[in-house]
Amino acid sequence: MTNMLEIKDLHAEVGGTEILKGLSLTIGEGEVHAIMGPNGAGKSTLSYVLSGRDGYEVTSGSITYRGQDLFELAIEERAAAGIFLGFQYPVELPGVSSTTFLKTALNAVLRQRGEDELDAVQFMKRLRVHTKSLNISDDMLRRGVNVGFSGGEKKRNEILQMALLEPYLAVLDETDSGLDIDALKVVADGVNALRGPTRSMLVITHYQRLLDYIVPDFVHVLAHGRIARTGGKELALELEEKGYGEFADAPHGSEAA
Amino acid sequence: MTLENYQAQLAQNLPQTDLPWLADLRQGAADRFASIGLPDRKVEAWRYTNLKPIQARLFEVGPFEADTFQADRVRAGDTTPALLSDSHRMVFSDGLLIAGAQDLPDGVSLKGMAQVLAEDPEILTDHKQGIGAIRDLPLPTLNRALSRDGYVLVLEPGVIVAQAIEILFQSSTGAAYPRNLILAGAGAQVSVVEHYLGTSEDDYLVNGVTEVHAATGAHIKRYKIQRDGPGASHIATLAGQLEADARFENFDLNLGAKLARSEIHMALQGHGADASLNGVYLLRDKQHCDNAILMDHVVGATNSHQDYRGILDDKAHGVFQGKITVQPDAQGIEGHQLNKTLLLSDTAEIDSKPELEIRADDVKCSHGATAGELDEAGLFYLRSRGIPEAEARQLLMAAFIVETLGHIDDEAIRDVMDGLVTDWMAS
Amino acid sequence: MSYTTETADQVSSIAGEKYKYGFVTDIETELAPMGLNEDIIRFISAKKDEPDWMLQWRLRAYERWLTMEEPEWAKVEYPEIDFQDAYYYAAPKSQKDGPQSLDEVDPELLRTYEKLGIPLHEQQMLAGVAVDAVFDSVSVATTFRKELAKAGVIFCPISEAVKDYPELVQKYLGSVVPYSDNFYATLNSAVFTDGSFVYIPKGVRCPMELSTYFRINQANTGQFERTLIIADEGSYVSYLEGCTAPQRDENQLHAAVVELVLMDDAEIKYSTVQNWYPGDADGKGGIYNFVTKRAACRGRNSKVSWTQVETGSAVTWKYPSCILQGDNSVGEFYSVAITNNLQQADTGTKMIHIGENTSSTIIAKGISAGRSQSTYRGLVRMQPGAKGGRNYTQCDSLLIGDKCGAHTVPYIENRNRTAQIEHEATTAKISEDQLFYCSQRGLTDEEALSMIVNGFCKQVLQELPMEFAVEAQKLVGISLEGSVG
Repeated sequence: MTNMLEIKDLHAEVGGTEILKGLSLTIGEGEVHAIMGPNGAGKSTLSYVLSGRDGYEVTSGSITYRGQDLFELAIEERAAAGIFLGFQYPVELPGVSSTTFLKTALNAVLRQRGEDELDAVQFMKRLRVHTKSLNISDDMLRRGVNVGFSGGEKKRNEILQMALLEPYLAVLDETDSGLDIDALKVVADGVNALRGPTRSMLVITHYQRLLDYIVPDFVHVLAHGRIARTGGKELALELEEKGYGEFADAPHGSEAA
Repeated sequence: MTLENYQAQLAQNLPQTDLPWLADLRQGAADRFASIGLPDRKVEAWRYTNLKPIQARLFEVGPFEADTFQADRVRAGDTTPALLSDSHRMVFSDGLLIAGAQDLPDGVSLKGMAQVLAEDPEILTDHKQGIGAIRDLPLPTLNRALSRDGYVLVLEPGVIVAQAIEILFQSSTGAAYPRNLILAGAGAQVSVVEHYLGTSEDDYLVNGVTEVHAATGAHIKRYKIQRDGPGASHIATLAGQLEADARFENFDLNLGAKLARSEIHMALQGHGADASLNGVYLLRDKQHCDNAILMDHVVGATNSHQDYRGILDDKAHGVFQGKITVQPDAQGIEGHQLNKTLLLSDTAEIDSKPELEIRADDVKCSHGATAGELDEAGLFYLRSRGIPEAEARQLLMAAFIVETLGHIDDEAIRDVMDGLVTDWMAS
Repeated sequence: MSYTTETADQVSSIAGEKYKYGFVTDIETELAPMGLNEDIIRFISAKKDEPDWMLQWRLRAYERWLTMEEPEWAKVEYPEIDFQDAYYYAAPKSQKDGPQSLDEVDPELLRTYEKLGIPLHEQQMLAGVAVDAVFDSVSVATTFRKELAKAGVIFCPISEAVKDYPELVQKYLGSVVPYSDNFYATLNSAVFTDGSFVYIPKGVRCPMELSTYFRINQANTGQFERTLIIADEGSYVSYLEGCTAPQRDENQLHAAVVELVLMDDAEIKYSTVQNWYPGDADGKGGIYNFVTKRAACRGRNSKVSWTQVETGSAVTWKYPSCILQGDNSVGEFYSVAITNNLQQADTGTKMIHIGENTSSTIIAKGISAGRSQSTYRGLVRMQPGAKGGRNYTQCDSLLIGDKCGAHTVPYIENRNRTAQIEHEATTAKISEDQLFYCSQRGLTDEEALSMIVNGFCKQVLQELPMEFAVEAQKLVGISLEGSVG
């Protein structure tokens, strides 16, 4: 099996402060990995480094994505290459209509992948398939991107984009935050529907709850900028019970398993 | 040429100086300008705009040819494509009418100012002096002294003009002083597009005045598209008086000219009058654009709205000065004002002065202003979805403007503006 | 009659006679000859026993002042001031040699300050507030000096500082507001008589609040105080000032200058409750309050916070400003300006962002009643180097009655792409619904008005030190209603 993602000894800083301190992680094709960890451990930093956000400076280490050096790609090239980041706080874009946004993004990705762009009719057809299952109303599509959306609507909109863009690697950053149980189920169903042998997922979460619905193959604990422990899905339950106390004040005490 | 030299030629150069009142007005204005001159930046209204660049061109008004006001000319000189596919069209070139409007509906008169002065000066009887608010200002004063032509649009009460009126002012050299007048009778409705287009890179000057009188219940929409040449200076003063229940909508799209100033004096003088003044300024290189608005709520139960947004690149300099005045005892007022500017470069500059002067208590007035760069988080979000940076920037810029363009009621005109805005962003 | 009109009428029917600080202290006073010329300046300088450099500085300012014109851009109107028809120096006679301790202060003066609610006997004072009391042209008492000296804090009349700390004064006086700055500041530089001087050494958190009370007593005098506060690296001080004056029929001029200097990591919190005599209901009398206040945040991470409650004076012209030069420096301006009867206030701030990542906040609340005029005038400027600069401005005006005016004149200038400026302003009247609701719950209109206005000002009032906040809340009510409570 080819590896989807290989992160080796990754060090990254934000505003001069080192957040990731030698993180290594390998994700195989079709695998779902969960990253859990206390607040401030560097979970969101990892997701931004993967997507290439400005201000997240990699100082050493490497990331290989489907055999390619990820750092050579710009943000949009990573997206076209199949990396999707589901935002913890989806950004509001007043004045940009949701439909225009989705169509522009899909066609930009198709274009970069060397595929044909969709015309308005083809696009709407494809859009409809997903809006229905994710319970996304026409009204939401008419509004500005994420403008006036509830927490649940914003997260469903993220999953809709993921479904449209058909990534190889989906990084879901705290997708469960701000969701009640019903909204969580809708989102998890959407994610599960996209699981497949060629698609890998990195689910970042603080709580075990989400992992009841999106069952991971592996669970990692991220603490103090590196993977402190790795296990199966039962690790999540153990963390739920014991909390992150074990990882709280031992910056160098525990190494990756 | 100096003003003194120019005055000597006034009689030859200007049309219809045999009308004694007109000759007096022109002489009076010339004398006044000679004594006050151009305002410098110590004058508060000109705090951010330096008029020195226009000094050299002020008096380069071409000779007046006696036959230019001949009515119903063939559109011989009119080769510029119209912005609107379906409109009544009139064309001025370097300040003089070269093509008149055809097939106007009943109750609508649209003629050149020179033609009106020659054939029908009594139309102007009540408007000889012009609107008081701008009468003594330096640039309208100079316009009064030197204006040779312009358009005069008169609507009989109740007339609704279905097609928009499109007036092209194309310029290439010297100085042009268009003087325009819109007289809308009670309940009349019209949409007017003033399109200023440069056909040279010369540092020519346009110093125009448009006066608008809206009688009770009249509804006037006026759109100005300013695409003067890259060396040009474009000065425009609009003065309006709105009677009871009259509505005036104005949209200023500023794209051209090196130096542009658009000054609006709007008087809401009848109960129920409503003015909505909006604009977009898109500037790059060393362009300078100054929008100055004085919204005067003279009486109670009047509403006003201003929304101006701009995008500045390179070394461009944008200015917004918007003032809402509520006169004593003018109760029951709503007045809102918004100015937002995006800075795309490290050398662009915006100066914004949204001002309120309130002398009555039953008012709801507000203003807001923001200035800053494109939203970094939004840009990242778009790019993370695969949209290339340049395209993402354009999307965000368009989103920034879209709400303001939304104030344009006429769909065809909105599409034209939208197209021009999109072209600007793509270039 | 509507609730608002009724309330407005009540407000306007009660004239300024409820100004409770309007009494005059009968005390023997030494005056300089009336008028202003070089000799008067020499006289003042001699009275203060000043070194020659101070006199020369004053004379340079005077020479400059003669060439200047009074500013006319503010939205205030008042008859021309005859600068020759005033005394530029007035001092209580018994003060000639200066009191060595409070026991030597004229008991009449102490009684005056007690009447003003400012007891100068340290044992009676609120714990933790040191006071400098300035009576007409001189400082009459500064309390807690010994305690402050232990911490290394210098808190003394500026006239003493000129003699005792000449190197500090020479270095910083006029360094924020140069003697040539503007008409009133230049006049002040020529004729200033007293004021407070504060120096907080490196790393010192001033152990108590410092406070100055200004009192104009003598008729026909101008008061020209000068305050200089230097906060050295990593220091902190909270400084309060209050002002009152007797009720007189003629106008009196108050032209003060306040300079604040902040080094790295220093913080100054400067609070003012300005309650000079505002004139009577017909606009007769009252103080012309023409003040220049400016803070220079020279050091990195320095922070200055201006809080002002302006209820007094016939005419106010005042723009406490911040020059944000040090990277990451912070400027704040919180203001309540209340005008009633024929008062006029033109006040606001300037935030000049020079350094990187500088930020400023402006919260200005204007309340106009009677036939008064209140103007917010402010400038926010991001210089080309102000990378990452941030400003948020909110100015709200409240109108009470239909004969007053509320004006907002902001200047917003951005020359840096990465700087963000946000400005919001609203003008509205007190809603009849609010008043009706309160009345229905048993409040009188006056109580309701006071409560609503205090609510409107809360964002600003909560920035005041506790002791001041309570006073200010009462003052808000009194200024508007005249006699509530």
